[in-house]
Amino acid sequence: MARSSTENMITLMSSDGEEFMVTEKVARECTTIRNMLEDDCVITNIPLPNVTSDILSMVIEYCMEHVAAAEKAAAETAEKGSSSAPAAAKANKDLEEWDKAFMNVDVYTLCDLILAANYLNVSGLLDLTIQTAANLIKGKSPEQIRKTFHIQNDLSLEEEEKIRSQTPWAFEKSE
Amino acid sequence: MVPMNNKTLDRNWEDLPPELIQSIAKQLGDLVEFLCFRLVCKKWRSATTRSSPPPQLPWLLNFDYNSSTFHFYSLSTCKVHAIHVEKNLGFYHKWMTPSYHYIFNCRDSFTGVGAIGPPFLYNPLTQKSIKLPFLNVSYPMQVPFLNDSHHFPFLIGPSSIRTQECVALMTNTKSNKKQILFCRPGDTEWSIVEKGPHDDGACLFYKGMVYINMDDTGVTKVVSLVTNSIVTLIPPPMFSTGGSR
Repeated sequence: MARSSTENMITLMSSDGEEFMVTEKVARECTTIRNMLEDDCVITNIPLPNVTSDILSMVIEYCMEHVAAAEKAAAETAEKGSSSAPAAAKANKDLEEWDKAFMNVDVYTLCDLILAANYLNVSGLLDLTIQTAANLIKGKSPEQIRKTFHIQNDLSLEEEEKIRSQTPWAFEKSE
Repeated sequence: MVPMNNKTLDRNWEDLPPELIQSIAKQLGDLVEFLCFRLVCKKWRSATTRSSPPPQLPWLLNFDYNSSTFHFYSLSTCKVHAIHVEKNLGFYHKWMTPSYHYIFNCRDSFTGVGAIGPPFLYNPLTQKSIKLPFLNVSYPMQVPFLNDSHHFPFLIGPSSIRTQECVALMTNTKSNKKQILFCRPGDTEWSIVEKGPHDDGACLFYKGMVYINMDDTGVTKVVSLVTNSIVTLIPPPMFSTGGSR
């Protein structure tokens, strides 16, 4: 705990040149950055040419929230000797709610977040964004999926017909 | 359309790296959604293969023998779909929910409807079937438990069916005792899981182990299908005294 006041600060630089100062602990949520820090512990300035400032600030927000939640849980455990199950369950639920609200973004932002989470290797955020994308697909026809994600249909009419005829039961408009 | 500003990097959904497209596909609920996903665009199609569908939620099946059609309700899409099958496949009456994308099929000896023959797994994607050994017992009572490394008990992977995985199911014998049977692809007959009897309905199949919960004692038997012997007995959970029996 005493470390927090003297904790190392790391500067992350987005593709558009904006700088973000974060604690080392938050930066370490990104496995990609953690590996860099482990290779070279004096590093303090990390350029991230694949992530824009908009998206980087969101990734940092996510990491900060999850670090804070983990610290809170650890502090409670240390205080009481053991974590109380109802309190832990509530904290988990709160974090889930936070994640859910955090995922209230348009599909372009979601796409950028998936790419950033993958590049920075933030496994929790990657799982969350992938699941969110899958949820947007579930129960939709191919046309509806294309519309949702603004995807051009590049299959020719013949190709599409051929695929549909292989398993027509999957594509029929049903009751 | 959202305007593209100068901060924007490449952010087209069709241009996601294949491994990320695959990750999304793995989170879909069943085959119907997977097939719709694969019809969206060429990139999404080429990133996924037909042999790697997502873990499958059960379908609620109803087979119409006269029209050789089975209807199923997808828990994931909340829709009813109908699959027409070839008549000459000699389809039996009793269809069971798919595990991964295999549908288990066998003769319903309770009603006696359907042709006589060995049970098989039917793959609605390829319209191919895999024959299983003849099932010389009374009618099966539960969906088959097809093994897979997922958390869901009803699953099987298309590759795993060719390897060490197997099909297991619970049946009623004539004396009304329950038995759990299993076979591996290539087996010539069904094996009985640990002598039994198991006078109860609760049974799970997961990673090569069968978990049988016994009604009378509440003890859960864990049986390995590799050695066909009890690995461990899990005592019943502690209930507060005076609770419901």
